[in-house]
Parts: sequence; C-alpha cells; structure tokens
Amino acid sequence: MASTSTSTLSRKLILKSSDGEKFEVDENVAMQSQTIKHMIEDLDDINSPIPVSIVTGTILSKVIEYCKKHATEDSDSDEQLKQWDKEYANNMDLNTLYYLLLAANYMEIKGLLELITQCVADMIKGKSPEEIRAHFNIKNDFTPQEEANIRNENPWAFEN
Amino acid sequence: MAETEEVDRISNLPDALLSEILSLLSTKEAVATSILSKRWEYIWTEVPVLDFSYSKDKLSSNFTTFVNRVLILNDAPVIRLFRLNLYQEDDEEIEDMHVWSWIRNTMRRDVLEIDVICGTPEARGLVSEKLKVLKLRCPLKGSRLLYSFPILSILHLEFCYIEDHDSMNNIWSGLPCLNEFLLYHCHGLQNLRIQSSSLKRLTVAGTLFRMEGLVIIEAPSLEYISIEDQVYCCEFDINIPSLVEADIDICGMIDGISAAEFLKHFHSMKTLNLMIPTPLAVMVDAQMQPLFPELTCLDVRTMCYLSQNLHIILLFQMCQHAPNLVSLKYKIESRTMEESPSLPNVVPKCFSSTLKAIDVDNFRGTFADNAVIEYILQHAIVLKCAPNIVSFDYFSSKDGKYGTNVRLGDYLPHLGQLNLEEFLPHLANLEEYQPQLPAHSTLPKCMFPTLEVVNASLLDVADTDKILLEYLLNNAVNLKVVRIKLKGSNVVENTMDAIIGWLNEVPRASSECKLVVSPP
Repeated sequence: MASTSTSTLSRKLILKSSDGEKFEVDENVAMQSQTIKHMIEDLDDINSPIPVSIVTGTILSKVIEYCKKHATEDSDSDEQLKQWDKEYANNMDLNTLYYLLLAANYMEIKGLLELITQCVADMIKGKSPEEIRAHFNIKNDFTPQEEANIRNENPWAFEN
Repeated sequence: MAETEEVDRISNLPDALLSEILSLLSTKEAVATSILSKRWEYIWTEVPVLDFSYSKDKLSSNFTTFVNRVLILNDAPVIRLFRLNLYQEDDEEIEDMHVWSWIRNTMRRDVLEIDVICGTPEARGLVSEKLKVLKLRCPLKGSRLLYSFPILSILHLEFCYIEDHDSMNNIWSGLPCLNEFLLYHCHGLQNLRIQSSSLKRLTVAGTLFRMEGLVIIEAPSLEYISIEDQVYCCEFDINIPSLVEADIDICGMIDGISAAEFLKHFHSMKTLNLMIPTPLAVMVDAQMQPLFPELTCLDVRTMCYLSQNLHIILLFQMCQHAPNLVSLKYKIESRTMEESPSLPNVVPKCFSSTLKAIDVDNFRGTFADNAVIEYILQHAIVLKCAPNIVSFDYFSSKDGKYGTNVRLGDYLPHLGQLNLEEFLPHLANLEEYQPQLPAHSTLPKCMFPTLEVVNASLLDVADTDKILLEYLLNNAVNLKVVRIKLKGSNVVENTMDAIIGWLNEVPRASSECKLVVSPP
C-alpha cells in the first residue's frame, strides 16, 4: 500500500533568476509554469539552470512558494488552499504584487495570475476614483475640464 | 521600503494585465477607472467581460445609454462574458426593450457566455456560432427560441416562464453539443422532452410538479442526473443507459409503487444520493431481481416526518436491491424513540460480500439507532472502515438517555471482530457538550489485527477523543499511522504541542505506529 502512494521519483530542476540566484525545485513544482514546461521540452540537458530572465530572486522565491503549495496533491481541502492563497496574497505589499503579477504573467502560472489579479481588483472595488488614486499612488494628469468631460460621457458609471 | 510604496506601479502594467484586472470588476466600476489618469482613460474598452449585474437605478435612461455606449466602444477581440441583471428587489423584473438587442449584439460578436436576468420576453429565434454557456432567467416565448447554437455546452433556465407549453421539445436539434442542462423552477410547461445524444449532466428542480403531462428523457450519453421535485403528476419515459450518478430528492406525495417504478429508470447508476418520503413497494427476498445491480455508492436520507420504522425499512430495502454496494451512508432524521425497528430477515447480499464502508450521519444512540447499527455490525462482515457512530450532538446532551457513551463498550468488541483497516473517530464536534465515556479501563480489549489507519478530524481534542484514541493506540496491534487533523480557530500552537506531548506518552500496542498531527 505504502509504496504506491509515494511520489514517482520527481526530477529536480534548477531555476535561475534574473539576478543570478539559483533555486532547486521539484519538476512538478516548476511545471506549473507553462513557460518553464515548454522550456523543458526543448531542453537537452535537464541539469543546466533554466533562466527565468525577467524575475528577480526575491520574487522567484515567492513564486516557488506558491507553486510548491499547489503542487502537493495532499490532504488540503479546497477551502484550506483558498485560505492559504488569501493569506499569501495579503502578505504582499503593492510593490511585490506588481512584480509577482508580471512574473506570473511571464511564467504563465494561471492560478497565481488569477490570485493576484483578483487581489488587485479587490483593492479597486468599492473605492471612489480619489481613493483608488491614493491607494496606488496614481497621479491625476487630467485638467479639471478633461475630467468633467469624461464624467459627462458616461454619467451612469459615476452615479452612486 | 516606504519609498517604493510611493511609486505608481500599477499604471505601468501592460494593457492586457490591466484589462484582466478590470474584467473582475463590474463594468460600471471598470468604466469609472477611466477618470484615474490618461493612462487609464481607455483601458476599459479592452475589457473582455461585460458585467452589468450590479446596479441600483437600472431603469434610468442613463443606464440604457451606458450599456449602449459600452457595447459600441468595447473593442475586446473576444467577449468572454455578457452578464445583465435587471432583477429588482421587489420581485418585479424590469421590462427593457433593449435587452434582446444587446444579447443579439453580443452574440453577433461571438460572445462565449451569456448570463441574463430580465423580465422582457423574446420570441424570435436566437443563433450563435460561438456561444458556449447560456444562462437565462426570463420569460420565453415562441416554440423555437433557441434556434441554433452549434457549440453551446451549458444551458441553464432558471425561474423562466415558458409561454409555449411545448417549446422545450423542439430546441434539441439546435443544440448538438449540449453537455449540461439545468431546468430550475420553471413554469408554463405541460410536456417535457429532452432528447440529446450529447447531454452528460441534467438537473431538474421545482418544475415537474407544475406539469401534468409526459416527461421524456432520451439521453444515451447522460452520466449524471439530479431531480429535486415532485413527480406524482407526470408520466415518465426515461432512457439513460450510461447513467453513473443520480441525486434524487422526491418531495411531496408518492406511493411506494410509483416510487419504485420511478427509481427503476435509473437502474444503471453506480452512485445514488436518495431522499424519498416512503419505502418502496418492492419484493425483498432471495429470488428477487435487484433493482440497482450496478450501485456501489449509496447515500439515503428521509424526511423528518417519516416514522423511523419506515426509514429503516427503506434503508435495508435499498441495500437488498444493491447487491454490489461498497459504500453506504445514511442519515437519521426522525426520532420515534423507543419503537422497535423491523430488521430484515434476509441479510442483504452486499453485507457479506462487498460493503466496505458505512457512514452514519446524525447518530444519536437511540434504541432504534443502536438496533440498526448493531444489526449492521453483526452482518456487514467485510467492513474495512469503522462507522463513525460515536458522534454526538446537542440533542443528546439534554437528555442523558440517548447518550451513545453507554454503547461504546458494546460497539468496540463488535468492531474488534471485523477486519478493519481504517477507523475514523469524529467525536466531540460540539464544544458545548462533552459526553461521558466509560473509564478507559472498563472497555473490553480488542486487538484490531487488521487496523492500520486511524484518521481523526477533530475540532479540539477533548477527553472523549482522548479515551478512544488512547484505546486504539493501546490495543490495535498493527496500527501503522494515526492522523489527527485539527479543525477550528481556537486551536493554538500550545494545543498542538500539548496534544503531541500527550500522544507521545500513550503506550502503543504497535511499535511501528506513526503519529501525524496537522494544524487547522
């Protein structure tokens, strides 16, 4: 019984971040990234580091943390996984979220991409334009006249 | 760190990512971002989701203008979802002449999913080459409204008033790829014909009880069916030979003969969740032809107003008619306390050959509960997993009479005679109530020679849990692993440490036994 349940010999891959940091990960962890999956298929030598060119070590370690959690098909229920995701995203500052989003997009990790976009969307939800600008430090470069014009184009969008 | 927070990073994201973010907002909120800065002015026009479901003043002319404008200006290559909700709090769905123009417009633009709630009927046939999901909650007119949807996979009709009695009957040739059909609380139908060679999943709820005609289901690929309805007023002609799983919840009047006739339609299923108000009128004896020869997984519940005896009759009847049953779950709803239940003379065949697991929901240790479980434990000789009957609820705490604690001493030796491989104690899952178990030393010894796994999912480890866990650790000679998964928010790290500490102190009959305690 026990022998069948142990993982089928997982290969190790080395991921190399843009700033040269190396991470050894199980193949099934890395394979959640479609980009890496495709790279492996073209790779002759599985032992050579795989460059993840636009992602820094700091961000890559966070990406790997996510992929590890989602690679284990163990006893965690969907609900527990959702809770973990929520805490994972809530612990990121805006800066990190931004780079994670770019990384998830580049690495094509669907779950992570959805998690972070949802997290950012939730930050926008229910806020006035002024509050959104303040939250993300968006500089309003409209003149008051331009802003009034936009409001007039879609008045319903700005009704409360 | 504080410095980096000052930078506006989000505006630097590529358009594609920004429109993904906006696609998770209502269209109103997405359009409102146009005012943030010049960078944001037109991002909303690329958003592939049009969601007009959140709105307060839907009738205002501004709303109509808004939807029109968004539809004209939206430039997304593919519209993934068009959602519109014109449902008002006061139960009146608003009529809006534009609704179907909007729907047709998005269909022409190859929208993938439409989800619309509106009060405006439409009679002209709809066509869409690319639509995959269609969810409607609106009045439907005409006999051929859903005219041609070559790749539509999911169709949900909820709370639809269908004006033409037979309009459901003609749509199937226009839906050659339909995979899932849901008919939920619709009215207006007289007859229903579902005729689809692609259909895999079918749900009908709250609709049949309004009909008085014929229900034909001709679906050779159907794998899952769910019927939550009253069925006494219709006639059925059902042909679903590939059925694997059924959820049948019959409420209202039905007699045992009709109930049996109805269930016969689902004879090929392997899994059945059954809620039914009456035992079946069927033969139960050694020579009978079983009704459900393929059934391996059964979950039976009954209404609370059924007297317990009927419930038990149904339970054993179903077991009799499922000779290959592997897993049985039953829920006890009714409480006619001291009546002596009628137990079957012929032991169900599956008890001695295939039945590996029994799960009892809501066990309260009444006289009848105990009689049933005792019968099962005596005859279900191939059980691999101990039934989790030692669960308590608030009800039993008020009156010690029904406390299962009395029974644990009898229960354990019964289990000791089975070749159990797994034990799942669900003990004190209510914080308010800590039942009294007999002193550990007074419980009879059982070796459980085949028991290898104990999986416990616990809210907190209370004294009762400790007694049973301790008992199993002390006695089960071949135990390989005890897994304890803690639930609930009140488990702190100290609790974990205390439990692990305590468990490590308990003497174990098996030298190989591992402990795995996982936090909530």
